Amino acid sequence: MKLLYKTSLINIILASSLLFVGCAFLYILMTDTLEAELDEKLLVNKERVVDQIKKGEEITSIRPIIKVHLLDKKTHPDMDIRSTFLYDPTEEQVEFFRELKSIDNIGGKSYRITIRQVILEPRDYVKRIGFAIVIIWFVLIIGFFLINWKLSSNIWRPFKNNLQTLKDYKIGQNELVQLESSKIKEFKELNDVISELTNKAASDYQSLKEFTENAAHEIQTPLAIIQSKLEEALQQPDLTEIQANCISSALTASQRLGKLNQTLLFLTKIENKQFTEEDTYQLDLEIDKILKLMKDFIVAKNISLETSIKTHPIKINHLLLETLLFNLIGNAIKYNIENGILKIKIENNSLIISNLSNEPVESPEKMFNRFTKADQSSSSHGLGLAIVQKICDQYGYRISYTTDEKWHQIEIIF
Amino acid sequence: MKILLIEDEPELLISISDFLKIEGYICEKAHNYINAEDKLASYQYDLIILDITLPDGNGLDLIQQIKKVQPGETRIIILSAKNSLDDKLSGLDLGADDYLTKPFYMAELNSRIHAISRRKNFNGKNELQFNEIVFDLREKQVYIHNKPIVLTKKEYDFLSYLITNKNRLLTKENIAEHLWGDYIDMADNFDFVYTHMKNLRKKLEVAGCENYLKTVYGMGYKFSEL
Repeated sequence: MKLLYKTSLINIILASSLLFVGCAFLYILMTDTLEAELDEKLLVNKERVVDQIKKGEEITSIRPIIKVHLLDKKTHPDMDIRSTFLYDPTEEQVEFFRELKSIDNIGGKSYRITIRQVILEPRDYVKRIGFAIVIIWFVLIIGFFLINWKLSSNIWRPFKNNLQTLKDYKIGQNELVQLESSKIKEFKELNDVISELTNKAASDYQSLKEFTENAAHEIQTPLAIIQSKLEEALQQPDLTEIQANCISSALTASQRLGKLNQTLLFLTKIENKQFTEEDTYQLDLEIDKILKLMKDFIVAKNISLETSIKTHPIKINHLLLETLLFNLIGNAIKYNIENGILKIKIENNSLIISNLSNEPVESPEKMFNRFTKADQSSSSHGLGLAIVQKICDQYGYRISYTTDEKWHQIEIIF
Repeated sequence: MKILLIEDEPELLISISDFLKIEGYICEKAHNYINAEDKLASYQYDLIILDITLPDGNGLDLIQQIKKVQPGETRIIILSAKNSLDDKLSGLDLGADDYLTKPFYMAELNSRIHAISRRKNFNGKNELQFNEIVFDLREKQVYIHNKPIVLTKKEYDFLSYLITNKNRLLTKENIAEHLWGDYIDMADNFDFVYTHMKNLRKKLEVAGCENYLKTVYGMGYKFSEL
């Protein structure tokens, strides 16, 4: 729920309940005031009647408003005011009356005087009050709406723009985050904190990137020297077979080390999300390309290829897509048996690559860990699937590895 | 061909320049940015082999320098320890002709130099020859005793690599890496290099070519005069 909606809702609930309480309060207050006024009026009227009797004038009863009755015997003075329903012959309906009944002793005689006054029916004014309240309520709602609209277009605009800027920001990009300034203190503080954080992250990222590249450089250079010297040694005339084999093995090992270093660097770069450029590619065409390049290896092992691939667009960094397919298909060839089968299938939203194998992998869940090899004696560095996993993580693909006696299968759900 | 080699690592500088001299190039050495700038200002080179990470400056800046002071035909090969795509792209954008990541095989460097000099001499003599074997590089066709022979693309590349690096012992790994690049990691052994070699040898033999291709201790091959 938006903050604005939330506060508006609270405001509206509060305003509505206040209006309701106010309404009730107003009703009680009005009823009380009217009653008091009425009672005062009744008393005054009674005094007028008493005055008239004192003067010896005849009092005519006006039903049901005034009624004077001479009592037979002298009675103790008394007075009582109450509300009551009575039939009004003039209006021909039952009305609600305020009634004052008193016994007065005037000139040695006792009179019972009854004075009545119609009470204004609450229904009438409750309606009017209700109407007024409803109008106020509507005006309030419209007011809230207008204020929110104004707030969101003015005060919240920099905040919203900055949020979009942050959403679009990728830490690998070169420029710093440019935030729109605001006069609101809270937003200003937030901007400062965000700027500080992103600048720090960007500089950390930069130094990490430089560190990994420098580390690679420092390792690659001695490796290049080792390799050039070994090559030089290998070209010497009159090498014995033992010497030549020693040098050749050392050369192979230095190549492996160089590749391992490059691969680790690559893995670090993926983890640092340094491959940010994206475009849409056709998965089937990319698979075809890789298969063409690997044809020699497929032929060398006499592997039969069973493909069922159809057009499937995929938005990804091209180098990462190539690496992903290269590692998966490469593994399926490398760990295939002689005269084996390689199956590649694209269906719905997933890519399934499977190959025949002599033995099941002992712990398939560990296959995505670094330096885990199916066969410890193999010359591979065990980073291929770790890289695949990292690429899948970056794009939110789900990857699973299943194996049984015959088949090894990898499925990626895009 | 006159080459300027710019490399800050002394051991590598010596190794590469020795190798280039053996291959018959005239090679001058520069061990840092300033040194390289001096040489570029005073002499004319056909090819510059440049390590882009120098202690006193960025090699990429040097490329722009080269384009400014060396008129026309100077070619550039970048050497880098960083297999960084950014560097590679900006290097090639700035006008470098090729990019090699350390560590590399000398034979691979040689092959790249040859490829570049061939491109450079595109209008001139465009042939590679070893006795009775003649390459028509434009048509990608090999003639033996003036008769064309049919080679697959891999066999053609194999033979041209061997001849470019004649009299050198080339290990199977080296050849495989040249022919298949990174894809070679997918092979569990180098036996199929042997298969390709066997086919190539047979085709050469049938065409009446002398047997210049020798297997050395089962670990590699050498192409040399009898």
